[in-house]
Amino acid sequence: MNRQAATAASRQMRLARLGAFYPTRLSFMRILLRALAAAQAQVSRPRWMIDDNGFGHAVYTVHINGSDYSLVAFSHALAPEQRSDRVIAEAWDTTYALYDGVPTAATISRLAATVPRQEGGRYSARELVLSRANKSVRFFEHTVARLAAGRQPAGGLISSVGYLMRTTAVYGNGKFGIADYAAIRRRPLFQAPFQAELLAVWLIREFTFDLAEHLAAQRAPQTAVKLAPAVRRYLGIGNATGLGMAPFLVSHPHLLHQWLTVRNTALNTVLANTAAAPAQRLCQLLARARRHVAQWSVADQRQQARIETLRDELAALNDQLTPHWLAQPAAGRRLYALAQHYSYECQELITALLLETDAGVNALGAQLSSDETPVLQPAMTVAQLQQLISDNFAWALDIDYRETAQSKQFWYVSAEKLEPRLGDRYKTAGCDKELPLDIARRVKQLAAALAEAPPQCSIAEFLLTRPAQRYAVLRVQTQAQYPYAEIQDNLIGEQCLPIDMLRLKLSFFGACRFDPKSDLWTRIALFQGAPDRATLHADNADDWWLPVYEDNSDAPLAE
Amino acid sequence: MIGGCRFTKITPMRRSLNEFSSTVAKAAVAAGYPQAPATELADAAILLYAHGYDGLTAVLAALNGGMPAPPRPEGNDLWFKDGNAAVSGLAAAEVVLVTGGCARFAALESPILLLGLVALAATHYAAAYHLVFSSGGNADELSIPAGDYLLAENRRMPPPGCEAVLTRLQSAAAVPAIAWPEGISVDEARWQTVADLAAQTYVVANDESRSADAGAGEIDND
Repeated sequence: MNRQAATAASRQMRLARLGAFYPTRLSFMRILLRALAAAQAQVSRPRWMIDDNGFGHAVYTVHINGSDYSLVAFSHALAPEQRSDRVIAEAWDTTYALYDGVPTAATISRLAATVPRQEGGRYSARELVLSRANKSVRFFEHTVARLAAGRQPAGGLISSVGYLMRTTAVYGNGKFGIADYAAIRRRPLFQAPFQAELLAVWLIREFTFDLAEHLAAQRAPQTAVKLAPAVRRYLGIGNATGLGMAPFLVSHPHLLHQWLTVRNTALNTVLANTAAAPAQRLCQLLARARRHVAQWSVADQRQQARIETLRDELAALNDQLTPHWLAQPAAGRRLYALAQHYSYECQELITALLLETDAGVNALGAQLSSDETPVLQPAMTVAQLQQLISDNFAWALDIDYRETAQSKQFWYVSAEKLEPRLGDRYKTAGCDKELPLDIARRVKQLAAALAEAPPQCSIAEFLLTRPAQRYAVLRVQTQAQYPYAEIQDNLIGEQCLPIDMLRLKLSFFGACRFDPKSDLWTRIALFQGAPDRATLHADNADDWWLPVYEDNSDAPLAE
Repeated sequence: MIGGCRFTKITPMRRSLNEFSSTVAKAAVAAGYPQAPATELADAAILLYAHGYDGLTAVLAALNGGMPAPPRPEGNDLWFKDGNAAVSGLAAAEVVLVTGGCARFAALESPILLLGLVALAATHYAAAYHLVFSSGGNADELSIPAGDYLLAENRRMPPPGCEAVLTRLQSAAAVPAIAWPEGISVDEARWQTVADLAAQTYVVANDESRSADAGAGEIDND
């Protein structure tokens, strides 16, 4: 890695910045819907066995490139006291499996016996994804009642909630016996990351619309109406996300590097292309971003303060975009430079905005996955490894992990449904079972061990008597090849905010409206503003970056 | 060909590769292995399975044995005396790759695991190895890119307690591409042993960890 790349990575790979990322046109949800549209995918609902109370099952099938994928959806009665977003819940309003093919009646029967049990069931390699979702108590019943009365849901609630249901887990890659990612990754539809999981979520969104409309029609057949197209387009799927997202980023360093590299390459492409950002489009997107941010309010004080600062900064940027300013060359590049004077939230939003101006970068999405698995470089010498640590991990060496604050937290897996959690090392029992997310501390320990070894000794020989250092050696060598592989923060320090890791990953998914419920837990919206199955092939199908709800109805905003 | 046990394919219960890999690695951590060797044991076991061998039994033997003692160097050669030294197979293969020397294993309890880990090294480094197992005056010479050996049908494995000598082969055919299985069929009783061990890496929950350590309430309606 050259010095320039290391410096750029050290600027970018801090959690404070990564935790301010926004979705872009290269987010995985955008890639999925573009792929569905490009392949002229057809979505059907071959089975709808939902009763008058909204319980039963349904099947949605996507036909694409000669293959079929079916969401098998189950809707259940659920007592309010059982409705929980936590992974430790045992029952849900709805449960789902994404099935590889079109399920027979026998398959549906098999799935009906297991899918409602979620983690408690065993699955076959024909199941690609397992998921569940709960109704928004505030919004689902309101929507059914309004539709039954021939009205659309209240605009204020549409905007503030933004979804009918919230998924509380989306499992892929071999969990509970479902198909391994390795088994499907060669299929064109699933080459970008998390495409099967997101296909399931997009189809769940369809089910939530249909279920609400079905219940309204059952309740008042004479007066019920369907969701207006604009409402249907705006509503997404909520998601409650905890720490389960975070370890992935640390355990897949090469993939993290790919994601950041693609994003940076796209930005550099846009900035280098002076013709790529017509002034009108810049203004249009900035106006949309301002409206989106104006509609984004959260209870979390830290995030709300950031949002309010962002609103002011976007207003200030908007003031700069006079006709004269816009008429000068390279407006996009100048806008990017202006944003660097403001908060990370503003900088990262402008980065995402600039990417939105150039559909030419879509092709980079093909590089978001990787088959490569970093392996040890055994011939490297101790001295060479020491130099890599000195060059790339100085930030880790500067920390004194003997200080309580620097090793305050530890990551672990709870025996309770294997939920990842973050404990206080000095209060919570179990730090002997710590997950290896303490990369910075391990690298410092490695540096100390290397200091005791002959400089010309090979790493292979060094490790022969120190197998516990293999993990840290691999991290250092990997980071030298892939500068964006490592989050450059102390992930066990008291100051570490896992919410930033969640937002980093979720932004690559394409999530928006981050609504932190604590430092460890956030709600988000997925597919908000995205086309549904009826509008997937419309001209504007891909234009849903930072969605805004335009309340054109004459309905009162409150009941 | 030396005599010995034949590793049979045992079927009843299917686990996905990801389930297998993560559970075996956790079990190895619970058994006292450091993170990277634990993961490599799981990778080697899957590699063995991909070629039709019972990788789980091989790993279970290693988990019972614990991390082996380091080898004794003699010039460019390494002497592994510990019965569980097969666990060091990948590290030994790396040293052999770098130094051009050889690694000698005495009284190997799990020769198939050594084979799996050397095959993993062959995959990682696109390198070729020569492996000689001997027992009771009989010797069995193998050339690795281990595909040659691992892919051979009805190959009898050397018995526990055999000796082995590992060297690098300078010229070799390309490592054959592996067709990964769609899951692994494992014996349920043995799997349960591994799963129970893996469960030792989980922290028992209590009311405080359920809320404070997850950062969320248990009922979260809105």
